[in-house]
Amino acid sequence: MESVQNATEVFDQVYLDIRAGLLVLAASLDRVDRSEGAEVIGDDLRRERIQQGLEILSGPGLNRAEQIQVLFSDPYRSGWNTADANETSDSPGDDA
Amino acid sequence: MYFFDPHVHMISRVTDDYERMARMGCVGVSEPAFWAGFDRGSVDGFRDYFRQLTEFEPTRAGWSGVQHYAWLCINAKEAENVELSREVIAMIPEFLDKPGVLGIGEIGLNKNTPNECTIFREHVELAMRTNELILIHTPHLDDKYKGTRMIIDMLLEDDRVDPGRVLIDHVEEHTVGLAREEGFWCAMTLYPVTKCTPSRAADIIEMYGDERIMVNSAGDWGPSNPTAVPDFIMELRRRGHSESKIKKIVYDNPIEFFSGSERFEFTPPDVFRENAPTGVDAG
Repeated sequence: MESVQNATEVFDQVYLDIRAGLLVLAASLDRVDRSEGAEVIGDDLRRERIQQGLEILSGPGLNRAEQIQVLFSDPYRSGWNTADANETSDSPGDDA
Repeated sequence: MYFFDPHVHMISRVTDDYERMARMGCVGVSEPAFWAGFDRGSVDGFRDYFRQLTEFEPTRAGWSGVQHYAWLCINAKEAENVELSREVIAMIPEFLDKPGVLGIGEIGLNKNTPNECTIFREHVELAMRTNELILIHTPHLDDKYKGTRMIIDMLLEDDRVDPGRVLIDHVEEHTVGLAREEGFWCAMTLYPVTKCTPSRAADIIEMYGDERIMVNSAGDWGPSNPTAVPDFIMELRRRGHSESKIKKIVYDNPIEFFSGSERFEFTPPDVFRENAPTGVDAG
């Protein structure tokens, strides 16, 4: 079930949504930065992730949404449920 | 267009919502057992909940001409109480022969803890022993990717699990491929802020196709929209998709998956409309 619209049609349809989304993003970051104690937010991992998300947005690709989802996801450790994995872990699938 | 909402917690909604959904084309809902907003204190609390899901909700839905189906379990949030969870799992078979019970769900993980894994595996064991369909809740936000992978790992531990009889719910851009690669059914939830928007769900359909996938509102007691599926239908129409393709996702696919349960008895709307719904005054 691929898209039945061409890129121009899609872009015409989403342009104002993208513009509005960018404004919400910009205004939200402005609001954080003009608030008292804004300097500590620079050390917040969540702010760092947002910055990384913005870099994903500005890059090329067809899966930016997936990349941002992964960016905001806890790490996963393959094999967590095998016999030699640490069965006593409080968080069995953690990468750490 | 007729549609199914394959995951909506109508117990948390008013009768007017059934009416609004029916007016927008809803002919059927399936309601998984879930968290009530507080941890219940006893197995009898769950027994009463299951009675409501299997007895009163189908009646209430019928007043608007909507056919109601249910799934039974103790949800992942309450699975931290392993003793109570085991009592509930032992009690579930009392309800498995009730009309409209489709299987075990929504089971899954919430914070991806060892206790949640223990109770998830015990629910799967029950489903395998009783040959039931499974509906799976995947965690929210940062926990989702890891939790979805852990759930799939646990399902693949058991050779008896047929992926064609398991629906993995709340998939998003980073988890839809995981579910589909292993042959599971999957569903996208149209829910404010924490899950998919109708537009992103439409994007996922365009990228991954319309096989073994459906959409739901997961309407519940939180901020949510039980008429989100019609929003999705409108989004696909705006994009120029055909009515038959849209119908496959919102009507044919849920019916195909639910037909794996011997208790799924669905009367198509052209037949059903011969039976006029009758309302009851709750006051």
